[in-house]
Amino acid sequence: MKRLLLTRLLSVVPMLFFVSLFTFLLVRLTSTDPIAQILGQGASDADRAEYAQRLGLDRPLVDQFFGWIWSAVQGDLGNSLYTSLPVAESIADRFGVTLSLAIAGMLFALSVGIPLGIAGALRHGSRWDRLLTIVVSTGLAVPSIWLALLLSLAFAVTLRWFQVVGYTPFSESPLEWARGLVLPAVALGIHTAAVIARQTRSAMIEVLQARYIQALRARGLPRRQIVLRYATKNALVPVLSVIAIQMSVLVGVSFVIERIFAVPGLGTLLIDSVVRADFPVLQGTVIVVASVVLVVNLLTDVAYGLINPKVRPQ
Amino acid sequence: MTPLLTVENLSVDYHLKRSLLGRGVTLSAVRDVSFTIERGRTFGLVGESGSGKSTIGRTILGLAAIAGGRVVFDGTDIGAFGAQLPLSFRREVQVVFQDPLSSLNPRQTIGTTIGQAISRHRDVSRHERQRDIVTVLDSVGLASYQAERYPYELSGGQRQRVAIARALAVRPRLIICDEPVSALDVSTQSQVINLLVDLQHAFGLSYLFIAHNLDVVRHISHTIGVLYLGRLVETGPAASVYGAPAHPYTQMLLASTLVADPQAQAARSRARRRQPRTEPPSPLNPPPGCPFNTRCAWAADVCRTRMPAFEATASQGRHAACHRIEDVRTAAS
Amino acid sequence: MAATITEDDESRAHTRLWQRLAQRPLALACIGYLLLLLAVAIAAPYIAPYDPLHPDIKSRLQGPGAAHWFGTDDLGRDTLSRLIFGARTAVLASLESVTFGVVVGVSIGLIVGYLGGWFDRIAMRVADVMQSIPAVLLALALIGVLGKGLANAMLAVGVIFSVSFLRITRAVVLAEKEQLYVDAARVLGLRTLSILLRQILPNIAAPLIVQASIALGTALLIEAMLSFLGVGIDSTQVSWGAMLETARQFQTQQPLLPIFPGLAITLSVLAFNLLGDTLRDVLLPTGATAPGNTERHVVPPQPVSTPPSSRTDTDALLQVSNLTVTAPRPGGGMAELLSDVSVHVMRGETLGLVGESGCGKSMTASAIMGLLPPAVHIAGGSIRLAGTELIGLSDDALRHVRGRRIGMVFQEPMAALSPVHTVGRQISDAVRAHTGLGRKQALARAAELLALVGVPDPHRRLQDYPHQFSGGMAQRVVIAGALACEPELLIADEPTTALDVTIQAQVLDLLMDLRQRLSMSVLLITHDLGVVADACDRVAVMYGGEVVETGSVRATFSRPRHPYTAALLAAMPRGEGIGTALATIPGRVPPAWAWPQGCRFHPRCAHATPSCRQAPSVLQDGVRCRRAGELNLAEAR
Repeated sequence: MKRLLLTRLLSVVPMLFFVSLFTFLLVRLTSTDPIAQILGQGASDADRAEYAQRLGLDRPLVDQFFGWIWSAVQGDLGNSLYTSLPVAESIADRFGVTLSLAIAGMLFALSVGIPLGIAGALRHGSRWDRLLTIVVSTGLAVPSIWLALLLSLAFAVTLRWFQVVGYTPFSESPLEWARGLVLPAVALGIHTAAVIARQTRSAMIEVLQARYIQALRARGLPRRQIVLRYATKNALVPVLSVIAIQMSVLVGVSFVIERIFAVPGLGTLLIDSVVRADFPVLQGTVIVVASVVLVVNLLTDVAYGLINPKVRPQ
Repeated sequence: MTPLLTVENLSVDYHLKRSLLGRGVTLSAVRDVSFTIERGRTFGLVGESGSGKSTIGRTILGLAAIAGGRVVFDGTDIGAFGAQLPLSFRREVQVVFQDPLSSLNPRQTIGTTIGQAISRHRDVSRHERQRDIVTVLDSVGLASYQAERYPYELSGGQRQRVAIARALAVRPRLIICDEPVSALDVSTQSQVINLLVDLQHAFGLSYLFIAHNLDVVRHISHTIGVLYLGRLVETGPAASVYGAPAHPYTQMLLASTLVADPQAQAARSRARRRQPRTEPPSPLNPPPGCPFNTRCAWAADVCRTRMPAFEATASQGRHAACHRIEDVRTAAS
Repeated sequence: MAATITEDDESRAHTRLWQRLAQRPLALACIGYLLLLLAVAIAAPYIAPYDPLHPDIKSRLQGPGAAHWFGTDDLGRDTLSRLIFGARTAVLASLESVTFGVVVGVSIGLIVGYLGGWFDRIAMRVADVMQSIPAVLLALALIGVLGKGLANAMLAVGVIFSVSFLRITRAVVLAEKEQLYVDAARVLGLRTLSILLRQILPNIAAPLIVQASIALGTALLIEAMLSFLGVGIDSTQVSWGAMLETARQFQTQQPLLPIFPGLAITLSVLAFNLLGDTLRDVLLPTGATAPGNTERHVVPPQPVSTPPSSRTDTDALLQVSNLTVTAPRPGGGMAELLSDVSVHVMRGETLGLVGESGCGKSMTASAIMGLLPPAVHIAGGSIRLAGTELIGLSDDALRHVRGRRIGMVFQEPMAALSPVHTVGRQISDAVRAHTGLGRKQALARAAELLALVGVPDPHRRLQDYPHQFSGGMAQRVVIAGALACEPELLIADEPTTALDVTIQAQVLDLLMDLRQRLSMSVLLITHDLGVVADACDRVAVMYGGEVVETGSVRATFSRPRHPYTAALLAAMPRGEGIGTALATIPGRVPPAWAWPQGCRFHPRCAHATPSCRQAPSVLQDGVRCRRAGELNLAEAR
């Protein structure tokens, strides 16, 4: 197992490098000119050149890239072109929020999706299963933003069970923090719960038809044990990869949901930086988010190796 | 007459990707194998799983790369062709695979499949092609209306006939039969085997007949070769190898086959219980020296250290790779 | 396990797709809705009651009413008209992005998948990099590059789709590339391009169509999100997503605002998804969705008290009498998989149940164990184990028979073991299922069992996983699991068919040794007469769901009484030379829903007479042939 962990960790490094390169190039190709945005259209060439030099935008691209990488490794992601605030700080302030949102959403999705999927598989073909399929299909189709709006309208504005907008950091009050996460987590998590339920169901159905399940029945094992111990573990394998992908999706959608609940996460930072072509912020955010996704993939691979012994290096 | 196919010291490797960083492990699937196939004759290649028999077939067909040695077809070294074998070679050497269902394109009718084979190699009009399709279907015992059918609509035996028809359609001289009857029922097996023999007589075809069942191989082959862990341990005329096996592995193989005669089988069963019971080694980890030494009743120290050479034995036309061949022969007689 | 008499799955690929879709009302509803959506999108300027962009401040934020059926937004613009024009945006956006994604993704996927090598490595690296950035984020970044506006936004989304279509295509191509028919095409000398287009591409069309349908829904959702953020459409266009943003801003003043755009998005995406699901069921049926598998609960029928056949032995350990098993036939009605099957196994003996594929021998074993697939029913007969009737027992009661009194060994050893659990766990669970042993004791017993079946170093091997065993060793493990509670009867269903010749002999010897040591009886199911000759005391030959001959192995093999038995014996190659043609049995085994009239074997029988065609033959004196008395089959060999 340790070897698996080590090899996967090592492979994250080149991936990060390529992601940085890709992001850097992508961002630099942007059609908006940040200097024009900052100084306005009427600025003179001299002003533009001077500003470019001040921001370090006149150096060759290669220099800029490696310079950025070098500082990034040391924890310095540069400063915003607009606010001159250190990017790393801005991200750090908001990172915890986005992470809380995404993880809360995933926890909700797992706690709803996996049991539903297993239940559907066990009652495959019955009325309950058909009902479940309809529910899951609806969950997949409902836009998270609409769901967020409706939930907010119903539970926060009308029933006043939760605050409508705003976010309480964990350090201030764990209870309020958790309470503030409920509605966003549900809004985010329903779609993922549907994806997970569907994948779990089809994986379970396939596993339940496997020869080894029949062999277990032939040995007289109790049905409960067959399902919970044997079938579930085997079915978990394809579900894991779905979980990894969905984590990435959740982070992305959380950027949009933030707006509805006025939560100070990475989303607003990101959207503004796209609109304004604030390179350092955009680069920094993408790198940080991509790193999170890579770490999640790594954890999934490790979990996969824990479950499926065939994958472990011999 | 020079043999149609000569295989000289052929070695083939498999490359397996083991770790995530792509470091490969090389498996020696075939090691130093030599045999010939005469025109119009059948060479039966027998071996169990991991013996490399299918790999040899695939290498001759150009589906696997040659790592060492040569394959010479009708005087031409096919290794010289590189990755893409020329169309002229494709015309001469065809294949019938084991699984008739997956060896036919499920989304094409039989007629289309055979038609493709014909059009690729002969410039014929549509009318002529149709006629050729009917002819070749007839020669394998299928009615012409079957050309409109899809593979799923046919039985296993019929599909295998289609596979044979497809191979025949290009008018080859050598057909590699890779376990062609292993997936069929007994009653269908005999139909297909008889068909192959008839076609050989009618068209002067040569076969490389690959199988794990020695009885079937004996029935259809003129010469037999026995493979173990990628090495040829014995070759010779079929009747001779089957009747008086020289190599301990061939003897073990023969002793392990089950005959449908209870009395005879009871005696065989007693005899085989006297043999050592061992597991075959993994192809990834072949033992040093002779690959069979871990399971051989005759294994001596030399067998565990030195690879025996594949050389002629005292009998006519027989070759074997065994250090103790003389002792084995004396004990058998 | 699928019921054995469903039509071959691939047949569905060839009945008209439209016909099959037409049979499903859900599919029709989805297609109807989507066509309506398309019609609305095309006809938008003609059917919208108002100009969607024209403000009318006086009527702002109204709820549904006479003038504005769905109300108005903050600028007084008619919601219904905006919904209609929003449909146009939605349709355009989905089609544009998915078309781009499919065209680019599939072409690159085909090339990369088939050629492999450096192309593949570079393409997958790029794909990995792009997929490690969340789609929304990547879309935003790409929009930053391309500029704003709907077309660019959807191009960005299209790029993201192309990566996932590339992955899907590549995966399918890699799988198809391994298929033998591609090898056969290469051996024929077909050109690479021809192989790609004519051999591989048609086989990947089905999964792609399904994915494309679902992608259309996803595209709609993403467009809605981007427009919600304000980076999708510009001010001259209308989008349901942007309407949601407006709804958000004014939700306290007009809470009804979010409903209609949200519903529109949901229904459209739902239609795409459900259509994709239906297409998947129709184009790619697997065991889970093939018809006949939807029934889960089999009601065990009451045991039919038919008079036992004349040769019942009350001492028999296992007595199967007049067993009939049916399953639904593809065209409707029921077909008999097993008809009036009667066999018995005495204590301490080995009965061989022999026949070719489709004869029902495995079905008999499943019936005995109570493990018939869903939709397959026992229609009559009795199965008695040492006097206890097994048919009609509840699943719970049967559980105490399975494993404890009857053990079962299967054909493919690897498939009979859970790949993600250790061998020790699986065997010790089998032990604990019927005894009260604790975990440690059960593991100790498991090690004993492994030693019993001849696995070297048993204590260490307990911690190994199935894939770490060779085929023969794995089968020994399965045997150990079957013997965990020392059953009285062992059913071995083709236990050596998947094994090598030399290993086969060893496993058979092991089974016979165990039979002696544990005083077990064995029901050995096989298609190989050599196995029967080697290991069995008595034999029952099956054909067409019926038992056609029973008797001792010696007698039956030397003097077969049924033409099928004789023909089977004759057809086995016996090590004769190339001169003699093998005896064959003309024709082929009929499928279970089309048994011939009269004697089921008569179309293939060399000794058939007209009376064989008219009436079915009856099992008498151990043989099911009306001519058994007159024929002398031993000479024919």
